[in-house]
Amino acid sequence: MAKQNRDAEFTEYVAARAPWLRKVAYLLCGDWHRADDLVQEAVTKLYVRWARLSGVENLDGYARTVLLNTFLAEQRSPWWRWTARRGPETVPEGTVSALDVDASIDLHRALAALPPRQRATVVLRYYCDLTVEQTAAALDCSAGNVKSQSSRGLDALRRSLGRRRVQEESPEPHAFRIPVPAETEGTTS
Amino acid sequence: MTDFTHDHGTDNEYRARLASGLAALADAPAPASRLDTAWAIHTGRSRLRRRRTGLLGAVTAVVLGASLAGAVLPFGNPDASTAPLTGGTSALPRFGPDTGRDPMTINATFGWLPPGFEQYMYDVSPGKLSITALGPETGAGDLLRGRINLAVYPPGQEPPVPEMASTGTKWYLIETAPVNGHPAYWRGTGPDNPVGLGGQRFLRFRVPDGRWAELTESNLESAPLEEMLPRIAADVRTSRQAAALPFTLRDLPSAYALNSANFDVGLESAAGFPWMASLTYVLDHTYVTVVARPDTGRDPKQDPNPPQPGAEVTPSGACKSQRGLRLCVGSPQGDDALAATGGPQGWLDRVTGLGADPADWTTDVIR
Repeated sequence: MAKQNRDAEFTEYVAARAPWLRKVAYLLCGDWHRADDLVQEAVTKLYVRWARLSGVENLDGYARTVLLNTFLAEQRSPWWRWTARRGPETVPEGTVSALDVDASIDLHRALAALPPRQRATVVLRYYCDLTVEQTAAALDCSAGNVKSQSSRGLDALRRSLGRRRVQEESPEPHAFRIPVPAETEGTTS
Repeated sequence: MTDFTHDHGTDNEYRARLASGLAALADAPAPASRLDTAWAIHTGRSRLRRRRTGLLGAVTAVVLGASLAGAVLPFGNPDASTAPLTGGTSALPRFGPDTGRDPMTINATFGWLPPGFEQYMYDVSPGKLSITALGPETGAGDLLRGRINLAVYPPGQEPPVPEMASTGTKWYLIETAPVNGHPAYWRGTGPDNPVGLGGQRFLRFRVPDGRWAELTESNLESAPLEEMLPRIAADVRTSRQAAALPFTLRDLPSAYALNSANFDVGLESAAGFPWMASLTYVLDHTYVTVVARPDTGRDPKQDPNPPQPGAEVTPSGACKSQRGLRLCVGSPQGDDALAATGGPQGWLDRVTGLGADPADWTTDVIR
């Protein structure tokens, strides 16, 4: 009976939170199918520990950490993941404007070019809205390291998006300008 | 969607636009999810059963029988090979005296470890040494293997204590029995709770030379960690030694600084590579990595997760086979980022492979 209750609670939690975890995974890995694999592995690990998690105050944060560790463990090979950069997936037809798609593809590519921990830092800080300290805890590193990774990540995104702008500069009305200023990560979270 | 790529306004405005752009990217139309919760439960139950009947028995037996077993030195332990480098066929780094020309120089390592923790990952960076020992295969993939990580910090630097866990839970340092007479603490989630979230354990302590270190376990919830981790901590060895590497690197562009040196044994076994050695250098946010693996006939540039049909894979880097090794150089910033230093091929030309037998490797790496 206890096992059934545990499984029912787990299923309910996964049904409610998997879409969010999938989005985080997608921003980390840049590929919806790999994101599914990451979430599948993460929720399996979550199940293994589920019986011990009843007292956890912020289960979402714990699940996100499991997902993050799963992603980072996959990234250990400095060659495979850094060099095989994927292009954008086919986006299903929808109501997204051409400008939105362009900007999304640009950001998708720029994110994919970041080293994994830098990308994870950017996603945790600016998508998950974690503080520097919370990000440091999730990545098991120092706050200073988070600031440094965050600063480098933002700088690299600017450079990457800027280069693309230069390459794709066109007379069309929505052509972007060249980005500029150097990133100076503040000391506040 | 916010046009975050327009870079105007303050940094805070830029960050706000970036946050908005990330949210829009995550909310974009996506293929249907393939998540299978029932399969997660099925697999999770199998893993729990396997752990209860396998790993728990092995680890418990060792801890309880420690007096009989004595100090079991893990295979490949540096202290066991401080003598002149000798031959051997094991695909593990051999250790010798610090030459000053070997980026893979470590000043601490494991002594005792439970049996089965025979595969290591070394990660040497200017600010931190990290060594991870991988436990026995569980049949459930690398991600679920037991891991014990040893992180050692520079003299005078304490391991950071994050104010909050990512769950919003506050961290506490709970004093425990000294390790070799030096103070030691569990990092836990309550003033009287020395256990981390999900049962994970963190033990921080001083090594004999006074530096701070921290042990972190993963996937060992069923083991008697409150006994096992202090025993591991008590036997951490400190001496400066260089790991022989399977290649040399000459005429390194002087402006590049070492970012990290890595040696992994076992982590890529499933992908067909028993070990991997790499050096990563950085200059102004441009990273370049030199990687050596045994030449198994497989292409290390081939992604183990093939791209989706129609996806574009950007050609990048350069590789060569030499003396039984597959040597590759590349940059996550792309080939063009290395143009000023000869491109990937220019870097690769500076690399000389020494073979797959550790007996042929050297601690005289940078020439």
